[in-house]
Amino acid sequence: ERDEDETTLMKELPQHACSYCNIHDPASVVLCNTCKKWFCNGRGSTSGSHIINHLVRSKHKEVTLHMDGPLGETILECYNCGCRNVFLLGFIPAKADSVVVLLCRQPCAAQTSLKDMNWDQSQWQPLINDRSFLPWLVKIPTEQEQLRVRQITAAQINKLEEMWKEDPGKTVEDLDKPGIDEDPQAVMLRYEDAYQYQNVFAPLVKMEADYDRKLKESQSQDNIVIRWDRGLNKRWIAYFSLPKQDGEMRIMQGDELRLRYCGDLRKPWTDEGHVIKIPNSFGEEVGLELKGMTDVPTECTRNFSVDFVWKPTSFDRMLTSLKTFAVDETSVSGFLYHRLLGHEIESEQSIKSTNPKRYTVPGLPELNHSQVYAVRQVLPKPLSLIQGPPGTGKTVTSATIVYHLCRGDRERGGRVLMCAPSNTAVDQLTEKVHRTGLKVVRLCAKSREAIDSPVAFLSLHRQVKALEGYGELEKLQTLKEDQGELSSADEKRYRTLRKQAERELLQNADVICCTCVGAGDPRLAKLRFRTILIDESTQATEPECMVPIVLGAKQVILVGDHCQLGPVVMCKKAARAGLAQSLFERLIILGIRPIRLQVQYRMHPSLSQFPSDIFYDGTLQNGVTNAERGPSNIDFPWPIPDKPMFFWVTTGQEEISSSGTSYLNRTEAANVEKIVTRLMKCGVKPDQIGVITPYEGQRAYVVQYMQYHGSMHANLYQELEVASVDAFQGREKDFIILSCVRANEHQGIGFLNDPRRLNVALTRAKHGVIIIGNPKVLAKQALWHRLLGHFKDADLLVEGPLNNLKSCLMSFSKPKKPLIN
Amino acid sequence: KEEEVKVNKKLEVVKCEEDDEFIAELERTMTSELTGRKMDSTVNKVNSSDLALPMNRGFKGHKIDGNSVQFSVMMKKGSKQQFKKMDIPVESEFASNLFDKQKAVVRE
Ligand SMILES: [Zn+2]
Ligand SMILES: [Zn+2]
Ligand SMILES: [Zn+2]
Repeated sequence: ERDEDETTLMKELPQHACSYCNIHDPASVVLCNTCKKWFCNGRGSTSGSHIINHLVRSKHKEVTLHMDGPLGETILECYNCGCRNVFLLGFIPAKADSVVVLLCRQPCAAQTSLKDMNWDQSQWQPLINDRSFLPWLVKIPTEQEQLRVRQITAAQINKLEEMWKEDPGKTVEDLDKPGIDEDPQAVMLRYEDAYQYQNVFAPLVKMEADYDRKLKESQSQDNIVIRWDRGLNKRWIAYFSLPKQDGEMRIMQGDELRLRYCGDLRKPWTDEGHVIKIPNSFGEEVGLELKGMTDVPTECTRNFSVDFVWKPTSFDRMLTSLKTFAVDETSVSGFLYHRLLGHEIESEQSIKSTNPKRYTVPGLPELNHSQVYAVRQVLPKPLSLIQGPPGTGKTVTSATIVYHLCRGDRERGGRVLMCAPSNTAVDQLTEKVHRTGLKVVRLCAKSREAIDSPVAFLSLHRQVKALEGYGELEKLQTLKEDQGELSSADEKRYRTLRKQAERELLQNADVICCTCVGAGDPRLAKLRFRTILIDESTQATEPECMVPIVLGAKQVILVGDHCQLGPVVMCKKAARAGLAQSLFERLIILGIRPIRLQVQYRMHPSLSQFPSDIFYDGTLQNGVTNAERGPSNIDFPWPIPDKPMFFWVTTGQEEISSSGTSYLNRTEAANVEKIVTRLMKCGVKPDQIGVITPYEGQRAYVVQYMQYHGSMHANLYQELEVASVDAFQGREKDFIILSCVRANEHQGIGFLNDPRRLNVALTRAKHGVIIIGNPKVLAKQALWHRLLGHFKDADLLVEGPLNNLKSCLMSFSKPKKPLIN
Repeated sequence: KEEEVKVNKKLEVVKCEEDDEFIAELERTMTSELTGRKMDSTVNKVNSSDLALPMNRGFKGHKIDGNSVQFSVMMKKGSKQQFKKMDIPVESEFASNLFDKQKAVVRE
């Protein structure tokens, strides 16, 4: 069904919020009768309260109290003559009675006749006292309240008052709007307040959104040929292949595309659908499942066009969360608010937490000392960072932390929200937490409900089906599946019942898992989450991380590894301005020390040596000793038997790929095939092998080359994954083959010039790594110079045929740029 | 209520030219409004008959709770006189003055 539009349930600033600083306690604000703007009785950083600042600068003189204040809605005026000029008004008390009256100073309070009506004129108390209204008449907000809202300076107040003279509609936000063409303001380390934080990040999010939209809309493809098919759920699936697939645009599962028929065999037609299959070794075709069921032009196969459907949802949710962080003071705890903005805080509060007797949790593997230390450190802390290098079991650690938080928080009904930027990572988290026996709900986007996953049975829409007490809903559900659509009455009934069931499930869940942007789902808006854990947080932009955090966080745990891939930011300008720096990294710079998991279980010890030294100060320890290693004892011609890795010198020339925007290297592709075939001959299954290459051109060429020139059966090579580093992030294979393709240092991409990508490429393999490339050229880059040195010193830089590898005596010149680590 | 977060950031007045200007302007406004009012011939002598405090208010002493005294503010609703409750801090002049006056009455 179509997405319901997301009514912003976001808490809006009340109408009576102070026009300077947004304080909105009714007892602390006063209405200026002339310009109908509200101002508070707090000073902020000026010498007078905001209302007085305004009255003096604007020459306005009359005010009204807020109806919810102590005196209710009251225009301040002289009791006797009705004069409303606040600069002339004041209180005088009765002689011996606890009564006061507001009078104008001249003439009413000065009349001699007052004395015999037993008013005490000598006790005249002006309304404006110490440059503010009397504190008992209009409450002065506490220091804490004032530090939590917009900090505005006297100079900014002046500027704003000037702006109001021409255009009363202006708001305090207009003070910060940069000129349109100016470069965006760069991300900062510390922020004065959450408004400044919003003013820095919102433009960057908008830039990325515009770039993404333009990029998607430019990818429209015409004269596409369709192969029609019908899914199990009776929905129509259109299979087609997209010629131009290079560059940044990669179709992902769940992406939304629009199909248009532009031929003349029938009237024009269009519908949207989401991608259920993407180009892989099984075939270059894209599978698109359409939403509509009727009038689908399945009789036509030619003259179709495909457009990318751009959805602003994720960007809107990030922008909303930035606004919530500023406007809603219940969005995060006071402590987190100041800590996230980089303010120094005297004493760190600790979260009341039980320290469990045993840290290892049922259903999950035994924790090592480093994991136990991390869990113990994190439980009482309101804000902590965990660095999980490759293969150190950070998902198990996260699930353990969440288990103890839920169990330890029984009485306060601690419901935990677990997020990650990618769906695959969220699925892994969900699976691990489910194993501990906690009640878990996986919330996924409506457009992804049809996509199968190992934890589909835990998704909200599946659990709704299995919920007892909702027989009618189940009936309507099956009816809808059979007929594809319901009558409008049934549909309405179906939706209300489903909403009810969803709310019930979400209420009783111990843990809710979703992507960072998924946390902005309206179904979560009314829930409050005390604790938020974000895994792979180093792959999310700051605004992305804020989406879950502003749901009421009192405790935030960020898990990630800033030595691996950072967030994907397509717009270079936004990336340069700092959008590509994760919140995890900024907090490290602010002085929060990440707790590092040190025992890795993935890589054979000789494979972890280089990454540990270069990226993790040599601290990585190997959990599984050599002896317990798996199939490295296969009959493969490793130059050194107990060291399953080598650099195979290959000096073939790279070429521009057919698409003209990418590269391929035939000699390297041939060597890849030789290694793959030799591995498979030793009994290694195709899905245990991964080939990583930075270029789409090489990816397509290697897949094709292996199938045609591979000496074993073609479909064996089909199951083998050939992809970029990014596609392998967060995953592992038994054997990894890196094909560098080319390495001219000024424009290389992928793991050729990005240390973090190289770290990821080198840390995907469990049992063996083979790098294929031309050392002469690669060594120009400092990091590669060091890597090649590592292989050379270990006598693992080899050349020649696979069954007769000789050490290569090539020497490399000094790298140009020094190694910046 | 959420615990107090002691932030090293203090709310202090940031001295600057615009703020000094504001202070001076406020002084000017107070004095000029008063002198203007005094010289305003249209402000006629106003009868202050209804300013009389009704005696039957039944003054039963002032209520103190916590650190404030409960006063009443004499106000007009249309032409009708009404009293609204108002808590005034014990340490304010009004309150301390009220206590002294009452002690004096008792002494007499
Ligand atoms: Zn005004
Ligand atoms: Zn204010
Ligand atoms: Zn008067």
